Amino acid sequence: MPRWSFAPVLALCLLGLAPTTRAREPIDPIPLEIEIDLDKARLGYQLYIDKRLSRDRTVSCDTCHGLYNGGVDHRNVSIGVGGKAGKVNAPTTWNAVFNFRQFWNGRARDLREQAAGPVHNPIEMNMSEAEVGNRLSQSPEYRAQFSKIYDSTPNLDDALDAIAEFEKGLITPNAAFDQYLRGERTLPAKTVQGYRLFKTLGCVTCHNGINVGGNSYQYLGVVVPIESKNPSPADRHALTGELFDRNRYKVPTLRNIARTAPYFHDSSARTLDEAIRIMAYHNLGYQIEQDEVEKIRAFLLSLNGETPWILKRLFPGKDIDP
Amino acid sequence: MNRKPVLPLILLGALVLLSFILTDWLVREQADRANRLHNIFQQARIHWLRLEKTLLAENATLYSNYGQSQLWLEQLRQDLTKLQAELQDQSWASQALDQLVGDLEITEEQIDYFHTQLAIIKNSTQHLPRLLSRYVSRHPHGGETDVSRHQTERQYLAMLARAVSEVVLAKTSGDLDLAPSLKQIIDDMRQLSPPSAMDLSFHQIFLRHLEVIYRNLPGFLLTQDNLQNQPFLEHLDTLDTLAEQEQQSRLAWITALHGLLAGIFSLLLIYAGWLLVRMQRENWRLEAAREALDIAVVSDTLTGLPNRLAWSQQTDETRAVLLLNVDRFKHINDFYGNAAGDQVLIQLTRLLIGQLDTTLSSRLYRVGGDDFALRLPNNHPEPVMELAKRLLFAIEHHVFLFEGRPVRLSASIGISEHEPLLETADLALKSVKKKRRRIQVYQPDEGLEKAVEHNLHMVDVILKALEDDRIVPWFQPLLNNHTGRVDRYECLMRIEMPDGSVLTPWRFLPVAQEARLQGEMSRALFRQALRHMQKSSAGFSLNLSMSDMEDEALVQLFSETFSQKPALARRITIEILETEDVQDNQSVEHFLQHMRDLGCTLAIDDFGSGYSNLSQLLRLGVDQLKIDASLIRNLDSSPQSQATVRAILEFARAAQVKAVVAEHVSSHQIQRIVQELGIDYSQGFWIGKPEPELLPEELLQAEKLPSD
Repeated sequence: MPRWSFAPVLALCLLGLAPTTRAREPIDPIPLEIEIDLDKARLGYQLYIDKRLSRDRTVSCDTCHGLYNGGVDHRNVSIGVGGKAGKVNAPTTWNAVFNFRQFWNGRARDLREQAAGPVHNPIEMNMSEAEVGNRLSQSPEYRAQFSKIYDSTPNLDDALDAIAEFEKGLITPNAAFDQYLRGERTLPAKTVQGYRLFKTLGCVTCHNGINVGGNSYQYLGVVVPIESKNPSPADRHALTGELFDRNRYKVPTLRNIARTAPYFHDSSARTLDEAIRIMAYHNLGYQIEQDEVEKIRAFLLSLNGETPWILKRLFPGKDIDP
Repeated sequence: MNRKPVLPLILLGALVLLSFILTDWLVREQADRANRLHNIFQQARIHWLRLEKTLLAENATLYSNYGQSQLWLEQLRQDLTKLQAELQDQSWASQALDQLVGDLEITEEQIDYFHTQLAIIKNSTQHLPRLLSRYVSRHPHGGETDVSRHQTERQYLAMLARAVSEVVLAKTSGDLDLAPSLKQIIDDMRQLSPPSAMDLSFHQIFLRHLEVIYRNLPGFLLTQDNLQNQPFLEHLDTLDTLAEQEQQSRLAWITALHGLLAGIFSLLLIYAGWLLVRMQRENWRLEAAREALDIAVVSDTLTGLPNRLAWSQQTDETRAVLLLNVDRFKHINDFYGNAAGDQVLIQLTRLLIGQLDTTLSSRLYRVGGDDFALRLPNNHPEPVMELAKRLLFAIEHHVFLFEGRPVRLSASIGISEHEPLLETADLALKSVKKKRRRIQVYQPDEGLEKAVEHNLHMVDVILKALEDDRIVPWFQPLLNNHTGRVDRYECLMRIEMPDGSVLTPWRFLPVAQEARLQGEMSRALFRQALRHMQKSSAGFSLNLSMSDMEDEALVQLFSETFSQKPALARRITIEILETEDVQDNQSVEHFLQHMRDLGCTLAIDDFGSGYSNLSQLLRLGVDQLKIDASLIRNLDSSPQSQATVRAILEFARAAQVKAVVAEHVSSHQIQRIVQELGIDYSQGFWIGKPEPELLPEELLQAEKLPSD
């Protein structure tokens, strides 16, 4: 065999190996759809937007986690029943299914457990299990639905199950960055540079995975502590009492981050740039340059996804602003 | 076919089937379970190893996707849930399972720590060189003219480099022994201030990074150690081993069960075999019993010879039949008892078989009490007569024994070569007695058959005559020797045939007796005679046999008639045969007594023909004797007869017999002697033949009286 023939073969092999998708990136794209029980999800949607689930019928899930509003309420803290102010900024329900735990301090293992929290919380919805059952049972619509889906009368357990099923569908696929990851498009140079900075500066160390966060607990103010008068009500220390857990939170997702201002558990950052700066300085011990902030912002904007999949499915044509 | 074994056999089948299904199910179930467990264990091992690998990769690379390790953790949680579901209620597994759940919880916690610490360490470790590099680029080499300042900068730079070096060393070695030197650097740097004031914030940040690393490194290394030393796999293996042991013990149990079932199965097979054998035996026994029964039906239980039924069933071609009858066998039974008869028959059978060759001995039958029949085949060489003689000779010269006493036997043989063999041989045998020959061969023209035919015909004749009232009395006159007048008649039975002929008793009486028609005939005769008696004033004799007097209807008829007609009764003489012994017969004796009381005269007929029972005559108070014909017949030629008659007369006078009659008076000479002897009445052809009508009285008187 002639010696020269080796080279094209090798080249072909390398071409064959060359990935069309960016497989080894620390961020995974959001799947285009998710397996779901549509009947439950429909019921879940009804319950999600139903204010009867709160004591004074003023608050629904949707009040603080606006379905077409980035899954948040854009308030510093949420307002519950009787206008009571909450203690933390409401995390988005969009893509929450991909979080390894729910709540800022991760005290709920999954969506269902999470959904129970606000219902019982005296300053959120302030409802007892029996009261939820009573209220829902008054609706013939609910009675029919629960009977059909759960073969039961309306009750909190099944309601939470339906809400969780609905929330599973609140995924926002096809972000520009996801398309880029799948090799479907290119990104502007600034965005690509921003992603590179995101990785090299160390943001990605905590903000990785499908949700660009939401898969580990990390400190706020690792390198340069953030001064605070009061101990945080939302950190893991509030949950475990461990010294190790002080100022330790579940890393929030950066998916659709441009749509979920204000930022941090205490809404201490009003803008994305502010949040980027705070993170760089306090958590990375890095005094970030303005052009770096802009690049990173550009990258973060590429994480904006489509209208949540289940909403598109249930209400075709009704989309969020791009 | 016995039905009983069928049920056990069905049960057996069902049991075998059930045991197979059960065992199969158990083995399958066990295998499935073992398989499922094995798969779960295998999955858990793989997931754990993947988790370890992922953690290792996270440690080694600058940035990674923590979602991956979360994914493996979730998989492991599911594996444990499956194990718990599979092993719930298994006490042996609960401890190991709890350990595994605990391990996973700890692992999860440690991974939470690990991710936090790793992020901190990584970022700071990554940032220190970046800061160093930024510092260097901000302070280009040789740009400084001030020597001391330059010196300070160089020292500061060296310290930064040393710090970075120490951090990298400490981080990559994972050796806590290196921590003090890191601490030393931090302390040193805290003493120092950066060469220029504008680097102060840089200095602080750099120092913070060092402190962050120093602060977190021990914890990080500890977490790393904890994760590496998690006993999850060991505990998984422990549970696996336990499951294996459990499975082994279960398998042992199943094997034992299987063995037990196999044992039961074998036993049942043996039982089934035994049942089959027993069934077969039963069949054989039944068959034997049936055969025995068949033989018993066709054979004689006493002699073992085939019996009459067997005779009728045999189909072999037969040339001739010898029918042998023991003479006076009834006498042997009566004399020695039935046991002797049986003994004799057994011995006779042996004797006969001994006389016959094998082909013949199988053709010997006992067809009746003492009747033996022998079928001779077509090709039998010995002449039949020779054989018969030989057998009779053997019987006559054999001494039969009964309880040691000798019993002599003789026999007769009837032979027939004509169908129907046995019946014709029987006819021949019957004629033996008449012909006084011991062996009689049936001849078709012998007349025996005709006799049978005659007898049957005669029965018909009698029955028809009874029906048509043709049983009629004929009257024979008796001459009163004292008055010379016929004043009595003897009523004699006749059958008037439709053709005008008349039958006398010797033609029909034997048949009538045999057919038991005599009583009825006598009654018919009496009713007929009664008409004549009522028209006449003469006396009448009636002959009654024992069977007549035992006939209740006749007894009643006589009794009623004579009770109502006492005058008639005084004219009636009832004649009974001298030979008939009425002494032992209460009812007959009573009848005679009754007749006598009613006024009838009792007479003995044929007196002197046999051995008279004189005491009986005296006891019955017989009024009249009729001297037998044999004595009267030659009264004129035989002085002996005259002497006998005289003696009878002597006796009659002594016994106070009122009248003596001489019958068969056939001539004038005899009549004269009768008269001379003083006999009261004469009867016979010389006096008058039997006629259907009574004589005109005047006709008799002169003619028959002796003229002297």
